[in-house]
Formats: sequence, C-alpha cells, structure tokens
Amino acid sequence: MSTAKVDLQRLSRVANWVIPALAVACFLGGRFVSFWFHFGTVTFLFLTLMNLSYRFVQTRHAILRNFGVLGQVRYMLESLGPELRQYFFSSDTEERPFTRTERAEVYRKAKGIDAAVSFGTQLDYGPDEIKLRHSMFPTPKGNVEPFRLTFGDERGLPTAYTITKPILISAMSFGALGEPAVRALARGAGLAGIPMNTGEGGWPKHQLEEPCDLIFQMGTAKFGVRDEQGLLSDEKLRALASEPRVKMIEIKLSQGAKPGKGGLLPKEKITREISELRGVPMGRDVVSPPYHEECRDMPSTVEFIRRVQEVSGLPTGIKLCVGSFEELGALFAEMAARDVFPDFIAIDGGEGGTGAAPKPYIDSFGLPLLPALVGVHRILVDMGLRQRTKLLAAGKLIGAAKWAMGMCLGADAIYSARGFMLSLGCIQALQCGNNTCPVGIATHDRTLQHGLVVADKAVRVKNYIEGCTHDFESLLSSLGVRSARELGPRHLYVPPQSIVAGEVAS
Amino acid sequence: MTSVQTPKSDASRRSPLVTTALWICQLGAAGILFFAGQGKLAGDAHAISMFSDLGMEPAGRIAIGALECGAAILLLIRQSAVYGALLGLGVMCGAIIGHLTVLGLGGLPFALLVAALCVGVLYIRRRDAPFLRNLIDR
Repeated sequence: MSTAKVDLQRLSRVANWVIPALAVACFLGGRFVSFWFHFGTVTFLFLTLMNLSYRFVQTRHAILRNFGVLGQVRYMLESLGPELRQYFFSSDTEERPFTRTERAEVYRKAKGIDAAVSFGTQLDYGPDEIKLRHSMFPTPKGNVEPFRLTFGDERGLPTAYTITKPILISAMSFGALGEPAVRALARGAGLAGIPMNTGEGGWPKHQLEEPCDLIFQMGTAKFGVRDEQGLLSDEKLRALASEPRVKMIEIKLSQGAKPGKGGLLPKEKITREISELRGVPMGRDVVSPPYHEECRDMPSTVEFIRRVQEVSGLPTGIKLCVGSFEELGALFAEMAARDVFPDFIAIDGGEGGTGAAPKPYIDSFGLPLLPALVGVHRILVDMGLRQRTKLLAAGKLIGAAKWAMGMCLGADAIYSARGFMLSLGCIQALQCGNNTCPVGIATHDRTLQHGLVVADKAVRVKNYIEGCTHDFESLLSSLGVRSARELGPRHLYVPPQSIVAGEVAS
Repeated sequence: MTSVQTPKSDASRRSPLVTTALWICQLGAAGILFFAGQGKLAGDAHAISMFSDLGMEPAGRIAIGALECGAAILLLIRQSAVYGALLGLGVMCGAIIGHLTVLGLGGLPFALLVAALCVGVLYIRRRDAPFLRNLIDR
C-alpha cells in the first residue's frame, strides 16, 4: 500500500476541471435556487478565464503554463519568503550582511538600553574568529586618555581638523538616502560631536542646515563642484570649502560596493533639486566615470590631490577600495617623490557598501577590509611614510570591539555607514535600490518617509555614537592601554588560518 | 546617486490618444457605476422592484449598490483603477446574467457598455498590476 502524498500535478489537473465546473454549478444554482449563487458564477468564471490565460496565453512562466492558478500559489508564497525567513526561520546569527544579533546590538545602543547579554555568546567562538586579548592589569578607567586625532597637522594647516571620537559617519549621499534620513544623521552627528561625510550627493544643502561638521566627498562625477564638462571647477570647490562647517574634503577614487566601476544617473531621477545640488543639467543622463578624468596615471593622481588640497585649503584625503598592493605601492612612491600626501586615506573593504551595484561587483570585487587595511598599513610603514597620513577603515565595523580590531590592524579611526543606518532604524529589508525602503531611510517616497521622525532618530544616532564610544573606552581599559594609539597586532588573537594571520605575524 | 531606481512608469510611455481613451473609460465607467450604485443604496423604486424580481431585496440591493460605488471610487484613483475596473466588470457580469435570465433585456445595453469600459481600462492598464501582466506576458 502506498503512503498518502500530495500530488500537486494531479491536484492542478483536477483544479483545471473543477473551477469551470463550479462556475457552471453556480450558474445553475443562481438560475434555479437563488440569484445569490451568481456571486460564485462570476468569481469562478473569472478564475476560469485566468486559468486559461495562464495556461495558453502567457509564455513567460513555465509553472503557470503547466499548473494554472494553483501555480500562482507558488509565486505568492515565494514572494513572502524573505519576510517569513527573517521573522521565523533564520537563526539569530545567519543573516547577511548583518546578523540579527549584530543588528540588535546597534538597536539597543541607539535606544540607550542596557546591552548586557547572559549565558554565553551566540557566535561559534571558533578557531577562525579574530579576538581581542585583554590584559591581566587593565588600565584604571580614569587613566584612559580621551580620543584625539587631528587631520592636516602634518602639513601644518591652520584648518587642521580634530576629531574627539574614533568614529565618523561614512559616505551616504542625499539621493541614496532621503532627506529625513540625511537630516537625522547630520543632527545626530552634531549632537554627538562627530563629522559626517556627505557622499556624492553634490552641494550638501540639507546637511548644512543641520549643526554638524562635514567631510565633502568628491566622486568621479564631482557632483556639486563640477564644470560643464564634468571636470573639477576650482571656483566651485573654493566656494564649498569656504562654508564654515565643511571641514575636510574626500576624493573618492573607488568604493567598496563597486570598485573599478562608474555609475549612471538616469535623467528620470534628475529632479530640479538634484539638478541644482549636483550641478548637472536636467533631461540628460549623467555618467560617473570609473575614475577621475584628471587622474590618468600615478603622477596625475598625486597632482590632482595636491590641486584639491591647495584650492580647498582644507585637510584632504582619498577613499579607495584596495585592488592591488603593487599599484598602491607605486602611488605611495609617487607621493613620496612629489612630497604630496593625502591627509587621510580611507580604506573601504570590498564587503562595504550602501551603494547599489551589479551583483558581480557587490559579491566579488575588491579586497576585504582587514587584509586591505593590514596591507596598506604595512606598505606605509615599510616605506617610512606611515606618519605622513591617517588611515580610516570602513567595512562592517559597527561596534566598539570591531573598531578596536580595526585600530589594532593599523586604522587611526573608523568609518561606518550601515551601522548608522541601523541606528536610524534600518531593518535590513534590502530595498535600498528600489525607492521602497519600509523605514523611510533609502527612499524619496513621502509616505514612507513619514515613519522617520528626524528629532527622534537624531537622538538614536547620538545614543549609538555615545554608547559605542563608551564601550570603546572600556575596551581600551581592558586591553591595558591608555590610548587608542597604543593598539597594535599584539592586542589581537588572529587564528593561523585567517587571511590576515600572515600579514599580522610578519 | 547610484541607488534608487524608480521603475519607468507606463504613464510616460502612453500616447496622448491612449491616455485620453483611458480617462474616458475610467470616468465613463465610474460615472455610470456611481449613479447606479447610489440609486440602489438610496432605495430607488426601480432598483427595489428589480431586486425583488431577483429575490435579493434588500440585502442584495445594498450589497451590489455598495460594490458599484466602491468600484467607481477605485476607478478614479490612479493606483487602484485596475482593481476598480475588475470589480466593476465582475458586478456587470452579474448584471448581464441577471438581465439575460430574469430581468429581460431592457437594461442590458448599459451593463454591456460599463463592462466594455472596464475591459478597456484593464486592457490599457494591463501592465500596471502584476496579476494582469502575468496573464498575458509573452
């Protein structure tokens, strides 16, 4: 005797006959019993037509051609899949890019809730995880020095800029984020006293209306400071740099989400506001080239950095995702030969990115942050140039322990974008590129932005920064150091099979 | 700006002629449906006699009246016009059955007209709703 099972194929064959039969039955019921049956007649008539259309008219979907309306059930259930997995079935440590455990920690920090957890870690604590090494003799709390890092001091700039917390808000443009999200971030950064990167959104109108320091990012299309040909306009850069709250300039050479690739701003997205802020004409697609037109080789790249430094008069850094250490070594050699150094170098891990990019780029391009950071730090040390610039690290460093790990491996301070999106209430719905962000962050849809109350979320951003900074100071104490500058590879346990193990050991 | 892809709306691809036809269909269907629906809800003598013949007085009259008014409202809102047209078409199918089987052919032309207008809306907006798109994608 065979066991009972659901034969979906047979079920759909039966359904193909039952639906029209029900339509006929309802019609007869409506004719001879009660007119109410005709509600059924019309419904089953529609379902019959739908079924016929699925099976014989449309050609795109094999399931619908073979199984008709019952096949549609599959698509409906599948469309609910991501939500069901997130709500019910994914474990707390398996979602990507951030696990529920990681996200929950940011939410707790942002809401100012006590973040102690009990009964052990949710992580494997396995042999391939990097860990911090505490000291037997922690530094007394009062002896940990407040964090201070000054950009532009090597060049003796009068505009040198000092940060007092180890974290900066990384590049997210107005455009990628909607206005309330940009404002909430800027206000929160202002409240906590950290600077915010403007991203490639052009003239930072909304950020300038909030009380925070800004790092202006200049992408390859130079939105906000471009001339008609899309090249750098000295005049516009000077005007921008004269804004008192613009403290630093960042030249974006590449970004973690899509290193080596440009972008296209389609004309449909160029509203009047975007056109004005970015300095691009309406009604025409605008191409972001994969690299700066002015930077055709190493010498021209270094000269471009010099030009931006001189025109802006501000600390000026570069941001890049590392591809080849040989190329970087050559770039640093050129910098040394011309005695021109960026005031900071932001290393973006290939895992990074709020930016939308084709899947091959998101998944497979660019060195991960840790080996990139270790490598750049090592090249600079080997060339005797490490003290000429500051290193910033970006790539999923969303908590104090991760900050400390980055700093042990060579970073002077930490950049984060997605950590701040989480603090704004991002639920990792992965809708950033669709204008349908359900929490109103990465969208321009007013009805969705309604959910994001700037005054409330600004406080969360501030809480997140202050909570993590507090943790960071506590970690420094446990590591037995007095300041972040003392952190080094000796404070890390790096498993032998880790990709950075060799670099750290050597 | 590398994110935020707004899908090209169908509206931008429609010729002015088609847009005009669409609005004629939507407004025509909505107007007739609303007129008929509010008559039923208000207890029009003609409606009462009709639904008495069908054996659905008063619940059926009120239900159908409400459905007709609902369809009319949905038809007037861009985002929900397809659903309004679908609902309107469903109610009209019922009306056609009623006229063919019980009520006589008197009111049939009106029902057929509204049904045709609803089909027009569904046809022109066939790419607006996923369920319609899936029906005909080739």
